[in-house]
Amino acid sequence: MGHKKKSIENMGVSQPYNFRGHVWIDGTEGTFIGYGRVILLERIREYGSITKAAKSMKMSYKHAWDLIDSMNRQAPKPFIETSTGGRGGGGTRLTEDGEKAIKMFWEFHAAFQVFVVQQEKDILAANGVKS
Amino acid sequence: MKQSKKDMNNASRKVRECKGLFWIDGPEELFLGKGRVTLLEKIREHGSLAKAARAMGITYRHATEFVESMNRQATRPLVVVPEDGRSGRATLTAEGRMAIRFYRKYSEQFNKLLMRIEENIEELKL
Repeated sequence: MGHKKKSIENMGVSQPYNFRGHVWIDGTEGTFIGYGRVILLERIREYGSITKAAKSMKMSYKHAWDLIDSMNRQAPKPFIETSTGGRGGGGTRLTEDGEKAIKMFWEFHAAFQVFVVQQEKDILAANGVKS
Repeated sequence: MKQSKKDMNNASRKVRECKGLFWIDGPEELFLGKGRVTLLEKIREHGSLAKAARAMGITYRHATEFVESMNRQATRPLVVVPEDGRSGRATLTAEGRMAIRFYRKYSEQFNKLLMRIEENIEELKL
């Protein structure tokens, strides 16, 4: 998040510090969309397979499936569609709502990053440190 | 997570809540976060580390570790604890009070941000 090695004298800090944080969206059953879930959706889009997506995140298939199931259950329409058989032997793909969910989360995440950088600048400014 | 599964199925679909946590990492480890700021506030309120710990439902040892970590990572201590901290008083320094002010100010702004984003999400009907 940058701006390391600045001092916030009035708070007694002069060594490197770092503003951090994370955001997520709760639904009716607790977590609905968060960082890990969005990465999983993106990997599924990339690989077209839950197994491969889970493996790429060093996650068990069961855990990945539980996360997907939780999102699908809490959303009005599922984020993931699985087709069996047919030409090419079926597969897993994101729905339109799945794509929307990814976009929404990254927008939320970006707004949060802006906030974090801003508060860091504010503290530095309040303490007479040019950023 | 307080609702039963049955209630949840009947609940309105539009229940979406933006959540977040933010904290400041110091040179060694976590410097200031929600729990530590709450501890500082309890110390300010009770004037004692033992009472502050009890009020938060954490052990005295845990509270001591929080305070030591904050004081160690700051150039000037946030909390002054006399030698016999268990019975004696614990008081905030000007820096300690400043830390609370900063964190609470940003919490307020952060909550506003979450509410604004919640409104945007509502429109997406996801």
